[in-house]
Parts: sequence; C-alpha cells; structure tokens
Amino acid sequence: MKKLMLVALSLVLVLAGCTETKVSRVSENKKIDLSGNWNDTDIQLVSEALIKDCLKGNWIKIRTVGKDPVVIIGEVENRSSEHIDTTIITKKLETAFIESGKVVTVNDVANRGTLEEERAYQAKNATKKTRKESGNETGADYILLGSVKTNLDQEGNKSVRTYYVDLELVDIESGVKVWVGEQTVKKYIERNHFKF
Amino acid sequence: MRRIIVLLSALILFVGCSSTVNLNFMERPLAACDYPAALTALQAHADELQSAQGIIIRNLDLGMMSHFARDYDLSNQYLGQAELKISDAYTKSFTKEAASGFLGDNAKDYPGEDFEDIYTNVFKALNYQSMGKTQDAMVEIRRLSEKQQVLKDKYQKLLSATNQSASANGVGNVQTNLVSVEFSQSALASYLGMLFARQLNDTNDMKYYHRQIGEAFQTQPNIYPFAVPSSIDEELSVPEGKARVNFVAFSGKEPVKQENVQTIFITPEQWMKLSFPEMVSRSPEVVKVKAKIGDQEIVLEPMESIQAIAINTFSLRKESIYNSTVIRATLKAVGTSIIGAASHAALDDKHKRSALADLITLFSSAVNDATENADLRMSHFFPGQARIGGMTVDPGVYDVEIGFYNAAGKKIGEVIYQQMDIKSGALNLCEGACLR
Repeated sequence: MKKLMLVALSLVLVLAGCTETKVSRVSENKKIDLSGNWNDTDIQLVSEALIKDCLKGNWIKIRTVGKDPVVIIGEVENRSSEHIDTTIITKKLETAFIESGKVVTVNDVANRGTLEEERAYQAKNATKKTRKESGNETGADYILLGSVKTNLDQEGNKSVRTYYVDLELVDIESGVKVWVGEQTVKKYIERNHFKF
Repeated sequence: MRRIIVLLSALILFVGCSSTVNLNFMERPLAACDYPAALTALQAHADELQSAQGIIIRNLDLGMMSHFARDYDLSNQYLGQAELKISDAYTKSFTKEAASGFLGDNAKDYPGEDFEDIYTNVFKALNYQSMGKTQDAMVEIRRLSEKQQVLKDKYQKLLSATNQSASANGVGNVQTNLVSVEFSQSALASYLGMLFARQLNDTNDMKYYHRQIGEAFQTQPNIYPFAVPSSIDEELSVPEGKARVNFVAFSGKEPVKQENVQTIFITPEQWMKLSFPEMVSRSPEVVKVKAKIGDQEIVLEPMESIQAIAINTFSLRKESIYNSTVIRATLKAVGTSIIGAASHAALDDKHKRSALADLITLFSSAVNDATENADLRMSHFFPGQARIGGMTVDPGVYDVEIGFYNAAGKKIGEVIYQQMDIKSGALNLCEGACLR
C-alpha cells in the first residue's frame, strides 16, 4: 500500500513538474532558433555585415574633406510576411555611425514631430537664454532607406525561408545612391511530423 | 466478464461524450449586433469552450468577437495565438493519432480548418489597419498569400497518402478521384491588399492586387459566381483633393458541420457505422447592405462568400476524412467479426450459451457504434459573406452608416461611425458586421 502511495505521489510530482515554466539566462550571442522566424540572431548577422560594408564605403571619404557626412535615418519598410521591427537594424547602424566618429547623424524622420513640439513648448515656457530656436537644425546630406523582404518555399514539413535586407544611402540633393548594401539570410526549416 | 462489460461501458460513455458546446447565450447579443456584450458573455464561458472544443476554437471565437467588439489589440492576441496553434498542429501527437485510429478524429486535437487559418490573417489585417498600422496589415496579407500557395500541394499529398493507406489495408470502397482544388486566392484579401498598398503609396503592389482580384473571379467561377464589384476600378485613381471612403461589411455566419451517418448491416447482430462530417451552409438573414455618407447612399456589392470558400476547402479534406472513416470502420467491423466468431466457437457447443455469443457480438458492434462519431468541431463566429464598396466625397467630418437589410427590406442591423474625419490621401476604411 505504502509503495503504491509513493508511486502515485512521484507521478503527481513528475506531472506537476511538466507544467512548470523554466527560465534561464543565456549569453546575448548564443544562437537560439525556436520557430524558424526572424529572430535576434538574424538581426545580429545582418546588422554586423551591413555596418561593416557601409562604413568602408567610398561615400565617407568623399565628404570627410572639410566636414563629416550627415545622415538621417529614413524608413526601412517591412515588406515581408513577418512582423519585423526594422528600427532595430537602423538603430544599430546609427550607433555604429556615431561610434565610428566619421559620420554625424541627425534626428530621425520618424521623430521630427517630437522635436517640433518640444521647440514650440520651449518657445512658450523656456527662458530666452535656454530656449532652442527653430530653423537651426543641421541639414542631412544623405538619407538611409531600405526594406526587408521574404520569400518562402514550402513543401510538407520542409521549408526554405529567405530574408532579403537592403539598405541604401541616397544623396538628398542629387538623389544619387552613394551606397547600397544587401544581406540575405536563408533558413532551412524542418518540422517534426510527430510528437508524443 | 462482468468487469470487462463495466469497463467497456465506461469506455462507451467516455468516448460517446459529445464535443459540442451550447452557445445559445450568444444569440441575443449577436441578434442585436451588440458585440461588446457578446464578447463579455463569451469570455465568461471561455474555459468551458476550451475544454469542449480545444484551444484553437477558443482563441478563434474570442478573436473574432473581440474584432467585432472593436478591441483590435485583444483580437490580434487571440487570433495570433490561434494561428500559432494551427501551425503547431502540423506536428501530430503520436498517442492521439494512435487513439484516433480507434476513436476517430475527436480523439485528436482540433487542427483548425484551412478557411479559419486564412481568414485569421484577413481579420488580423483589418485589426492592424484599424490601429493605424498599415505596414503590419500588409504583412498579414502577404502571410495569407503564402498560405494559399501551399494549400494545393498539401491536399494533393494528403489524398494520395490516404489512398495509399486504403490500398495497403485492402479497403476497396474508397473514393480515388482527386478533388479539384478550386480555391487558391481570396479576392477579399487582394482587395484589402490593394487598399493598404494605396495607403502606403506603393503603386506596384496596388496594381498587382487589383489584377489579383480580377484573376480570383475569373479563375474560380464557382466560388465567385457574382460580378466583380463595380467600385474596384475607381480605387486606383482617387481625384485630387477628394477623399475615398471604403466599406467592408460582413454578414451571416460561417457554415456548420453536420454528422452524416451511414449504417451498413453485415448480420442482424453486426453492423458497421460510418460517421463523417459534412459542412453545410446557413442561409443569411441579411440580403442587402447599404452604406450612407450624408445624403449619398450606395448598395455594397458581394466580394466573397466565406461560406463557399469554407465548404470548398473542407471538401478537399472531406474525402480524406471519409476514406479514413471507411478504413477505421471496416477494421472495427473485421474485429467484431473475429470476436463474434471466437465467441461462437468457444460457446456454441453449449447451445444455451449461443445467445451470450450473439450478445457479445452485439455489444462489440455497439462499442464500434459509440466510438464512431464525426468530428464536428469548428469555430463559430466567422461571418458568411463579405460585401464591399467605395464612395468619393469631399474631405470633412461625416456620420457614416452601414445598414443591414433582410429580404422584406427591413433594417435588422446597423453600424454607425459618428463624426468620422474623412481625409484626402488617407485610407478611410469603415467596417461593419451583422452576424445574422
């Protein structure tokens, strides 16, 4: 009887253990793929490659005579079939621009309204000495644009998902593209037919 | 012996339990188009719904009701979960698959119907658009296109596998003709894609989706037996300084699954029960939908019969369900014959025990009968029809109304957008639903 009770209790404990949520901290560089969808590893791979390519481009050398080139972050469109936050990539690129000391970045297109609002607020509420005036912003030389696209080839439990990330720097005055970079991430995903 | 009979009876009781759920409490708020009340009522019964029909149906039902109640973020959470679970259902449980070999599809987790998977993206797209996230809305349209692409291949493989299994089991009475895959693209999804692309100033995509609408009607005449809505072409060029208002109206309800039972008597004590689901459409009470802005009024035109698409996509799966039902029922009947023969052989020498042998055979057939139940599970609140339309007006603030009418011309439902700020160069999308 005692044995039976012990077995039953162990079974209950084992079953209870199955429903517990386990969380463990891992290194930010550890590659973890769960669903096959776009993830932090892809962001890392794509950003690193694009940053490297962008910073060794000739466009930096042309403008470094006299002053550093000024870049504004435009829109990187998500034209994929997944909800991808493209601002993570552009923010990494912007950080690399600033850290390189070779490129100046100005307020993003997406945040323009915030600056205008703040200046309007200061015009009303800040002292003359500390008030920031409109019309003194640094005009950008280049705008960063781009897109993320996906392609899916699927048969049964196997699929190949390819991500194309392209970025380009466009001379705002002439419209000339001074740098274009593209990174491709190709994933082979195989799902199990059965589980227990 | 008595113990075995008790155990078998318990099994019959257990598997004979229906997976249906009573949703009568939803009738009143739905009839009144009171979706917030319907959502509250459904949320109160969500656990009951999940235990009876599974997590996919729970999330689909709550997702749809949240959408109609205009809680778009919540709707996306539910529909997103449902979509994920439908995708996960590709990996089947060994144990449940094995159990379904005896107990039928009710023993498996509900995997979701293809139309549910497809329209999850349509309604998620509408949710994102309502939250002002057009790029995300477009993501849902692209995801839907991907799903449509794999649909054909999936069913051809499924049917071929079932036929092979039927041959391997020596079952001859199996339908072997491949069903035609009629549904391959949703005109409604393309229409939304066209509108979203226009909003994103993406002329190429806008033209692409415009062409796709025409193709959907042309290549799937049985699914789209009505004319291409006349307003479609007007969407491509909105006059300078004017504002375009677009309407999407949903009415009726998705089809239901009904049990089709066929009983084949082998001997008076032994029979074979075939029970498989049939998807049948429901007659909509709404027969006309009108949209009104100020003094201007238009009749919305049919864009998609969700019922027709649900039935068409299910018909592809129905054949494989039918074939597996035949195989399962035949194997069970063979098992019953063996039990019958063995019982008679063991008991027949004592004449008075012959009746007991017949009783065992009868009981065995009864067990087969009780374990053969069609899987009637499906979501409950997808609409049956979609109508669309568009009006060009001067930009400004208007009251916008979508009215739903029955065959007698009586208005039985309405959705009003009060003081809507209709802007030039923007996607002014008004959506209404009357699930009657």
